[in-house]
Order: sequence, then structure tokens, then C-alpha cells
Amino acid sequence: MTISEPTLASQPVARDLVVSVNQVYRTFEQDTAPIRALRGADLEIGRGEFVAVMGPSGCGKSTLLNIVAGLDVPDEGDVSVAGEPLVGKTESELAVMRRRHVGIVFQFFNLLEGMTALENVVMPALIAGRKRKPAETRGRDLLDLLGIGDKAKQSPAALSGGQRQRLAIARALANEPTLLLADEPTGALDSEGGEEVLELFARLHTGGQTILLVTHDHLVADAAQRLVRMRDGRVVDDGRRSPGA
Amino acid sequence: MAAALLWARANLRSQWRSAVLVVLIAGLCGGVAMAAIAGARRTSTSFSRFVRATKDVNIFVAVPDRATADLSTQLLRRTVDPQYVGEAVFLATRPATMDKSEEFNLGVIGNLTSTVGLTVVVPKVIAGGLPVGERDVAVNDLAARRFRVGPGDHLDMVGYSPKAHESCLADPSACVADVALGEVTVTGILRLPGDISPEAADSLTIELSPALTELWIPLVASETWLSGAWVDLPDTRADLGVALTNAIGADRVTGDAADVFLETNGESDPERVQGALGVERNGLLILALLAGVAGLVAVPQALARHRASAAREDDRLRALGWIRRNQRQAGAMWSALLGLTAGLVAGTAAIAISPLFPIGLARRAEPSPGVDADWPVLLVGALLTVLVMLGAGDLVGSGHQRVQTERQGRVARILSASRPVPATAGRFLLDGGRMSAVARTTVTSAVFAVAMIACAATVIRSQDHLISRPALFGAPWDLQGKVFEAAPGPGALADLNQDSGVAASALLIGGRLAVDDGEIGAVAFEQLKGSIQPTILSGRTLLNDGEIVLSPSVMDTHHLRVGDVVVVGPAGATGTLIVVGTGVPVSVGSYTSDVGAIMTSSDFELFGTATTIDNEGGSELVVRLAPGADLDAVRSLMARITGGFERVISDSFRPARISNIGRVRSVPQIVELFAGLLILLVLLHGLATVAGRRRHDLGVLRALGMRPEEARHVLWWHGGILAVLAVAIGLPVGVVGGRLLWHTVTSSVDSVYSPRAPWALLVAVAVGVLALSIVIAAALSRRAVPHSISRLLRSE
Repeated sequence: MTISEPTLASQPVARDLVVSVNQVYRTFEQDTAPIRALRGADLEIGRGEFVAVMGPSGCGKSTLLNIVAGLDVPDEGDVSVAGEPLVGKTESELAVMRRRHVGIVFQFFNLLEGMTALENVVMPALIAGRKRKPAETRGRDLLDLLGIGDKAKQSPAALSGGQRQRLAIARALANEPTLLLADEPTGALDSEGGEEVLELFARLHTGGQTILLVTHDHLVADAAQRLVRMRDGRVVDDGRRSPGA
Repeated sequence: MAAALLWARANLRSQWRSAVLVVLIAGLCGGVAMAAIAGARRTSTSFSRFVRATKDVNIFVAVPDRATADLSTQLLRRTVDPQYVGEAVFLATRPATMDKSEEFNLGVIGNLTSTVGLTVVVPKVIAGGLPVGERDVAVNDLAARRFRVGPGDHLDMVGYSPKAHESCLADPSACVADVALGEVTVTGILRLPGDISPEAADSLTIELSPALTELWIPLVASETWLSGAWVDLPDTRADLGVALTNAIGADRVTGDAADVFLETNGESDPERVQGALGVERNGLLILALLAGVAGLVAVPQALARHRASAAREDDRLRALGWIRRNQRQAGAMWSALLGLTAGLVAGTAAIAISPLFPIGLARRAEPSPGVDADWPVLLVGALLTVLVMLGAGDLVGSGHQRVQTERQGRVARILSASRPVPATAGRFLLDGGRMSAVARTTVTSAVFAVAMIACAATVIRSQDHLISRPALFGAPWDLQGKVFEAAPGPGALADLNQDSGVAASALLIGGRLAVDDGEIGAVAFEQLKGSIQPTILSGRTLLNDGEIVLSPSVMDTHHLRVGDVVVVGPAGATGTLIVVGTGVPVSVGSYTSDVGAIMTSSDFELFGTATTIDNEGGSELVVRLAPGADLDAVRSLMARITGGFERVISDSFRPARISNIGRVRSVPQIVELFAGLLILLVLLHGLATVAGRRRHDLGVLRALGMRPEEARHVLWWHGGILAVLAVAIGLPVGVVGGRLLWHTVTSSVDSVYSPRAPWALLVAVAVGVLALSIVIAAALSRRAVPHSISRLLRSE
């Protein structure tokens, strides 16, 4: 793969499924009582789609995202990402899947504070076994693309909230992921920072990037092409919408 | 205050593992320091306590006949409680299996009183019981080891008839034990105050029951009769001494007049014992100092790590209005809690390891070895532990408040160029900011501990090397024996020197030499075959007449340097000699001088004087063997000159100053053990802190695609890099430190500085520390790498 240009994902193909979630159940054992986070959730996302999952707190949207990311595993049901079934995979296999197909943007950034901005972006590529030089070149390009090219040598601690989230997005794009996942990406930002991030997602989507974001904010959800509503661990509305509709 | 208490309680809940390790580190350092100081205190008093406990004879008279001994005993019984008065005789006997050359070391004491009265009134019985029956003997523990006997075993004894003994004195080479005394039964093993001597390794004693003594007196020669008592009060003892001298008459006692009343536990012997005990006490004080310094290094470091592990709370507390004063209050409270616990642990540890102390000679003398609690030391030690913890806590707290930013280090950037796993491990170790406290303190403490091990190992290796090579401490030859005639017969000497097994031989003539205003011991070298030279410490050996080599202490006393000229010789016959070197004093006969001169035989004839006491000086023959020489053949040739009393130097020649060093060998061994434990605790604490603090980062890396095993390997690498740093810095520093220390030691005991590096052990330490660090990291990595990444990453 050539990484000299910060290419985004290829053009959307309508029914080329990137995510397939079928009758997924997930229960968390707690001291008081078990929490049934997912109770038969279904979801399909095609290549190039920008999907927002919305719902009240505790409806299971973050759990769904974690399961799609391979950060968590379902108790029941089938999940596949880019055609790869996730159920039954080991932790190592899930890690390899993430390298190939998934980039994750967290609400609280989860940046590696001991590293520079550029090193944060380069790290996923190095983990995936890429050479350092080309990974750095792509990293710089991504930072430029996201408007923080001048912060490459700075520690994440020195960046503003919006800049930190942009950095997190740049890191998520380092391996040219098939799927970009975002968990409340604007939750820790002020309105200006939030708008910056949403604008960025829109640009990425335009470039063909498949995006699944989880939010409880209508404004954020409105930025997406399609809005999926969840309640009590199930998808209750799989509506298709145009951005800004 | 209430907030500080709440903070401390919360800390106890969330940081208890780290707190336990901090307490263990402080407790280990404090405990070893306290135990060593308590051991040093016991060392200083062990001999006097042993003497008091055993009520050993401290006033006696040695006379040539039984009648005079009986008279002395009667006189003593008038003044002293009769149960503390005894009478005995040295009998000319030995075990049949004993080599003739070893007889000098053996005393067979026939006790005449109903108790084992003379040598020891209340003996310290190591095993078995006192000899009572007609064929019963007891032996001291050195003799028990030498003859390999215990209670119930038998010894076959031979003796010298009075006639054979007389011939023997006239011509030692013609000594023959002509009386078969048969078997005796060993009923017990004793330890006697006389055994507590720096050079007592060969001091063998056989104590006969009164019945056996009476049985043997008519059969074998009686060498010396003894009458003595244990007198508690020094003044009474002195008065009694004068009274005995007047009653018996100085002319009726054997030997030199000065030996009439030898206060065995008051003057020369105890001085030598206390000299040896002083070395042991100093060794233990050095151990205490090392443990204390280790504590001063490791405890603040451990507290800094502990503080770093709780650092994330600070920002949140500040947001709630928590100010620096609150932090200091809470920190002081927490440090006091840890300090009190550490003081308790240290005290308990000191009591637990107290049976290891004292060491060496003091251990032999210790009347009550075992668990010991030296309360003053424990209380002061515990208090100091608390104070150190409080001070270190305050220091760490104030330092911590200043360092709040993350910085990029150059080494960290270089490390980033490697593969992700080692690169991340290196970054964890070397990052600036808060985490640097964890890495820096772990490496510093580990370096210190590794250096301690390397230093101790270098000292032990050098010590073993020194003790096994008499050439380094004053005897660069293989055999040495007293020449009984004024000069060896020419035939015997010629035969010896013609033997191919003899590489070189020389005659050592011992005596005294007046130097400036004082008198010192002197030895002249008369070369017989080849060249045998004294051990030279600086300058050069003797090449011509008119030159002299002096011991370091003489050089110091007279403020001399190599090249100076000294005036020597008795008044009216003085001359000058050039000091060409500093040399190790040479032992001649049983007289060992640490203030001595070495000169040519011609110069000795001109300026030296023969000694007045028989066992000081005289002439001795020394022989250096050729490679592959037949030792027994050379000894048989030499025996014609030395009467069979020649010594194999490598087996038997250990001056007190060298034996004293050998007896403190356990100190560096304890240092090694202590430092090993310290490394274990420091690595455990450092790696546990990193594992806890980096759990989130490892979760992020997992989310970025790192496999679980790769994430665990980050910690493995982290432990490995940390160990490599500790070893790479600590080992060279320790070896250099050990060599410097060894230089100081050899200078103080007049021996050649010949350090040795324990390469095999150093390699083992390097591998061991690396393996230990990786094993700890591997064990911790299972907990550190989160199973549920999703929850961890949402828990900000």
C-alpha cells in the first residue's frame, strides 16, 4: 500500500457492507444486578455511509460501538466488519482486525500523553508493522490535513480540546481504516471545537470514509447521513437520512 | 485536617499495595541497620560477658613443681571462695594420630581439683558433659573439630615419659612419644575463654578428669604446674597477685619474671581479642552504615514512586479547593503512618535477624546467641525510621508539586525510532514529567543495590585471594620452621638445598633494632639458595648492605619516606641505613610484629640485637618449593634442621590481622543478601507502579491494534531496559567502589593490594537482575494489560 498521499477511503458502494450486526446480546455482570446492555441489536452499514447512533444514556450504543470495534465481545449474535466475522476471534485476531479495518475516536481522546502529536499518529502504523519513514510521512500529511501540522512536535497536553480531538482523528486514520468509529467525539469539547470536529467528519465522509459515530447530541447526529435510534439495547429506528435533513 | 484524614484513608484503600512495598523497603533497610548496630554493640561486650559468665581463671601462677602449686592453691583458698580456686598440670601427651608438628598447638590439661577447676570454673558446655570418670576427657570445640570427635567418642593417647621429655627438650628432632596411654572417652565439648583469641584456630585443648590426671601423673612428664582462681574484683586481684608473689618468690616460678602473674582476662590476650572484635564491630557498623545509606536512597525514591502513583488525584483535589498546605498536611499524616509501620517492621526484622549477629570471634564468645532485642537501638532506630519517612515524604511532596509537566526527552525520541513494543517500553521509562519520577527512582535505587552487590562481591573475591596467598601478607615462601640449633648443620642444609624440589631457601634471623629513639622488631634475610625476598608494598626490596625496609607503621611513626636515611643501632654503635622500601612485617617464631624492619644479615650483625625471650625471634628456615616439588620429600629433608616442627605456610600461616579480615567475611555476604532483597523490592515496586500508571496507555495501545501479548511485552521490555540500565551503571560503579574499599582494607592490614574481580558472579548478577526484572514485569503485565479495554477507555 502506498501512503504517500493522505487518501481517504474509496468511493461509496451502496450495498458493500462494512458492518453487519445481527441479533447481538451483551450483558454485564454487576454486584447488584446484571445490566443487559444489548438485547438483540441489528445494524448494517454500507461502505461510504456516515451513520450516527443515538439514544438515551444506557441504551447500549457505546456497547454496540465497542463490539463493532472488537474492544468487547457479544454474548450472542453475529458481528462482522469488512466481511470478517468477529465472533470467535481471539484477542490477538481482534487486534489485527482493528489494525486493518478500524480507527477509533474516543470522547476523552485517549491520547498517549508521553508522546508527541506526530508520534501519536505514527504509533498505529508502527503497531501494524509499517516502516517508520512512510508512516511519519503519512502522519505529517494527516496532521496537515486536519490543520494541526504545526503541532507535530508538541505534547498532546499542550493542545486545546478541539486540537486534541483532531489529533485523535488523525491517529484513527493512520492505517487508512475501512471504518472510522467515534464515541461521543464532541462530548468533551466546547461548541466551537465540536463544530470543527463535525466539519471534519463531513469532509471525511465526502472523501468516501465509512463512519459510525455514537452520540446523544441531536446536533451531532444531524451531521450524519443516516440516523439509527436505539432504546433498551435494541435498534428501534434504522432510518436513512441525508446530511442536514 | 479532616480532609487530610479522609485523603489518607482513601490512599490506604487505593494504594495499599504500593504502601506495603514502601514499608517493606524502609523496614528492610532500617531492620538491617538496627540489627547490625545491635550486633556491633553485642560484639564489643561479648568477650567480657563470656568471661564473666564462665568465671574463667584470671589470676594464676605457673611453677615447676606440685608442692609450690599446692602452696599457691592454699594461699588462694584463704582469700577466694574455694569453689573458684583450682590446680592443674600440663601433661606431655597427645592423641596418637596427631602430627608431631602440631603439638605446639595442643594443651593437655590435667585437672587436680574436684571440679574442672583451673582452666574454667563454669565452662561453657557446647555438647555432652564434664569429664568425671577415670578415662574421661573433655575437649574444646576446636579440638573436637580437629580430631573429629564428639561426646561418646574415643581418643587413643600417647605420652612422653619424663626421660623422653627431657631428651625432647634437648633435641626436638629426637622426640619420641614412648608411653601408650590407651583410649580415653570424650564426655563433652567445651568452649573456653582462651579459645576466644584472634589466632585460636589451632588452639586445641584436652581437659582430663581429676581421676585420669592422677592416673597419668606418674606415667608421663609434667610440664608446668598451675594454680589459679577467678577473682571478681580487679583491686582484690591485684592485691592477691602481690601477696602470691611475695609468698612464693619470683625465683620459684617458670619463665620470665614478667609472666609470674598473667592476668589472662585483663591485659595482653584480651587486648588481642578486643582488637579482633574491633574489626568485627567496625564491619558491622559499616554494614549498618550501608543499610542506612541504602535506606536514605531507596526510601525517598520509593515514596516518590508511591506519590507518582497517586498523582492523578491531585489535579482533581485542587479543583475542589485543595491547597498546598492541605497537601503537606495529608502527606505528613500519610508519611507518619507509613513511618510508624516501617519502624515497627524494621524493629521486628531486626529482632528476627538478630541470631545472625554477632559474627566471627564475637559469635564464638557470645554467651547467649540467638534472638536478641536491643531496646535502645530498636527505639532509636524506629524513631529515625519515622523521621526519615516524614522528611522524605515532605521532600517528595514539595518536589512533586513543582514537577507537573510532561517533557520530551532526547533519549525518548531516539527510542521512538525502534519497533513499537520496545519503543513504547523505553518511552515509559524515559518520559519526562511525572512518570520520570517512577523510572528515575527505580533505576537509581536498583543501581545502588546492584553496586552494593558488585562492591561486596569484589571485596569477598579479593579477600579470598588475599587469605589464600600468604605471599601477599608477608610470607612469600612455602615452608617455614624454627632452627633449634644456633645454626643448622652444614650437611643437612646442603642436602636440603641440593634437592631439586627446593627453588630457594633463606635463613630469617629475628631480633630487635633501635631506630631513632625507639626499638622495633627486626628480621634479617640470609640467602642460602636462590633468592627469597620479603613482601614489598612500595619502593623496592633489599639489594645491598646499608639498606633497610620498614613496615608501614614504622614509616608512619617516624614520619619516614622511601629514600630517607635512618639512624639505627644501640647507643655508641649507631649507623645509618637508607630506607629503600615499605614491606610487610615478617613473622619469626611465635612472635609476630607489626612494627618491624627487614635488613640484610650483615647489617643485623652490626646494628641488631638478639631477643631476650626465647619465643620471640630466633632463627627460622624458609623454603620456596620448585614447581611440581614433592612436599613430603622436602619436609623430610627440612625436618633434619627444624626437628619436624616445620609449617606448611599455605595451611597454617595467618597473622591475626589477616584472620580478623577472614572473620568478617560474612559482612559482605550479608550486604549481598540485603542488596539482593532491596533489588527485589525496588523492582517490584517500580514495575508495579509503572504497570498501574500505564494501564490506561496499554489500553489505548490495545485499541490501536496492539495484540494482548504485545502489550504485555511492553512491560517485559520495560523491566528488561530498567534492569540493563541498573546493571550497566551499577556493576562498574560497584566494582570500582569495591576496589577502592579493598585498597583501604589492604593498607590497614599491611598486605599487598591485589584486587580480584568476581567475573562469574558479576555475570550471574547481571543475568539474575535481568531475569528477575523480566519475571516481575511478566507477572505484573497480566494485571496491567486490561481485559476490558472498552470500559477502561471510557473511564476518564
